[in-house]
Amino acid sequence: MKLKKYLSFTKVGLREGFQYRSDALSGIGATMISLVLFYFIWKAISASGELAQPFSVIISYVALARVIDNATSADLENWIGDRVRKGTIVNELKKPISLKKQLYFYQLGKSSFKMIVRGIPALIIGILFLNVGVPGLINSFYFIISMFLTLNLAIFLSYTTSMIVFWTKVGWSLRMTRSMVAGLFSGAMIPLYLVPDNIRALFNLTPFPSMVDGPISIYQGTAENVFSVFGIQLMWLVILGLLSEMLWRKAKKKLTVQGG
Amino acid sequence: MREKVGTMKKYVRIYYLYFIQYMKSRLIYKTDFVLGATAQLISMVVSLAFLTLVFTQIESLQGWTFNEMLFLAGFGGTVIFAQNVFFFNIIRVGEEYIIKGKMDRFLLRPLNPLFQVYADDVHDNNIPKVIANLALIFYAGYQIGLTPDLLMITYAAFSMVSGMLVAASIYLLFSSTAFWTGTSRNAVWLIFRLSNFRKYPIDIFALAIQGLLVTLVPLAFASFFPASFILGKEGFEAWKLITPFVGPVFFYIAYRFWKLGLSNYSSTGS
Repeated sequence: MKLKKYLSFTKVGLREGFQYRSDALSGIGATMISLVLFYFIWKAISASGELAQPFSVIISYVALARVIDNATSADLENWIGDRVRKGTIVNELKKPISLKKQLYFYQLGKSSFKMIVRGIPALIIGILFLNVGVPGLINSFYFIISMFLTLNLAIFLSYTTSMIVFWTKVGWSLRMTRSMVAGLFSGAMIPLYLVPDNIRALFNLTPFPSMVDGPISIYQGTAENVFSVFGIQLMWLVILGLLSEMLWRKAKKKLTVQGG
Repeated sequence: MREKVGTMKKYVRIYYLYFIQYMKSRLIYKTDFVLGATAQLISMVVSLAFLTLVFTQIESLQGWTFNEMLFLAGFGGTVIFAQNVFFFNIIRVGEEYIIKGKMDRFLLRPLNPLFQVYADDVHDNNIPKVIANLALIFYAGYQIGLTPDLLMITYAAFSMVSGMLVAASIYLLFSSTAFWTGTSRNAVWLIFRLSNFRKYPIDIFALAIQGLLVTLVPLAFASFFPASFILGKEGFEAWKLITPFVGPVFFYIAYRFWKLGLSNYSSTGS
């Protein structure tokens, strides 16, 4: 019965997505723009030198990266930032469900909406025009699992940085930093196999590659071991979970509700 | 003429007063400034890192060397972010002014409403980014070995001002749709996304996109045309030559559109 309580937050998130139709529309527009931009950038790059892979292979990675990046974005920093500044965060804290669970299930709804309206159309375009291809049944199944883990990672990551809002009181700059750094390290901007080995080793010390590069390797069947991809994703979920819990315990003591 | 100068003086004085007022309120949110500026700089570092990684794979991008790409990014960045400092507030016209009814207050005062929207906020956290992009221009220019003469420097200066007006006109045009839709945020979000196109030579894009970049979203005038003229790149000659003069034209068109929207405005009554 507890689950029903939690899922009501998911419903709110989903409904918000459907409610703000112009937001959804501009989200689709933004996804398409980024797909077009990356298509031409990588086409030009491929035409300018001998890369490790031909353009048709690179573009399928880049298109998938766009799909995953756009489908799994989360924004809890602004949500918390707004409420901390206005002091209305107290309403959330009064509820008989922890803030973490409220936010998790709420964002799950919002992200599911994004997955549907932004991810799926982009994936179809990729399959039709950008050589993305369709994996076999088993790999499709594994891909869906790893996408679900990526979604969780995106929510956990956003939640972790949003804990810092309790100190800074502003969210947008934290979100911007987080998403920019994630974009570079994850493979969302550049296929990681084109990154020099020593730099890639550095990237692999962060959770970001497991969010985009990992699922792509499963989709394309290039992953050496699917379960080690899952394993790394789960490991980062645990690490981020612990880190955010630690930050929350500190934040709770620090929290001052403004006004009232 | 004298009357016009008098009006200008009045507006400059009032802008100054607004500015002081704004800065006073700003001091309360020091962390907002510091974090905002840091985030802006990090986003710049990330896009430079992307460029660096790409250039570990290739020598030049369709004839553009790494340093020339840096110059292009620096020029466009300086223009856009310098523009952001003064003309950014327009993007909030839908959510912050029309929906909340704040526009009414502006209409009652004997000052141009658009001026009041602009003067209501200074996007100061873009200033460090402007400085960083200027540094990028000088660094890349030095690496390339540019020795601009007076004419070229004049061209660059005029193009920058013109480019700022071009960028401002794009924000103004798209934000003004809020008079009909009540929201400017989404339109502007798309512009943010499109603004990434400025960092690349426009001939890498399909013709339809190139067309977009000189008409509805004329970012090419704020970045590619002037930068490639200064770098002595071939092609697009006529476009490069009109670059220093197009800013006022685009801004005028956008301003007419704003006026059209304003005449369509009716208060939300809140």
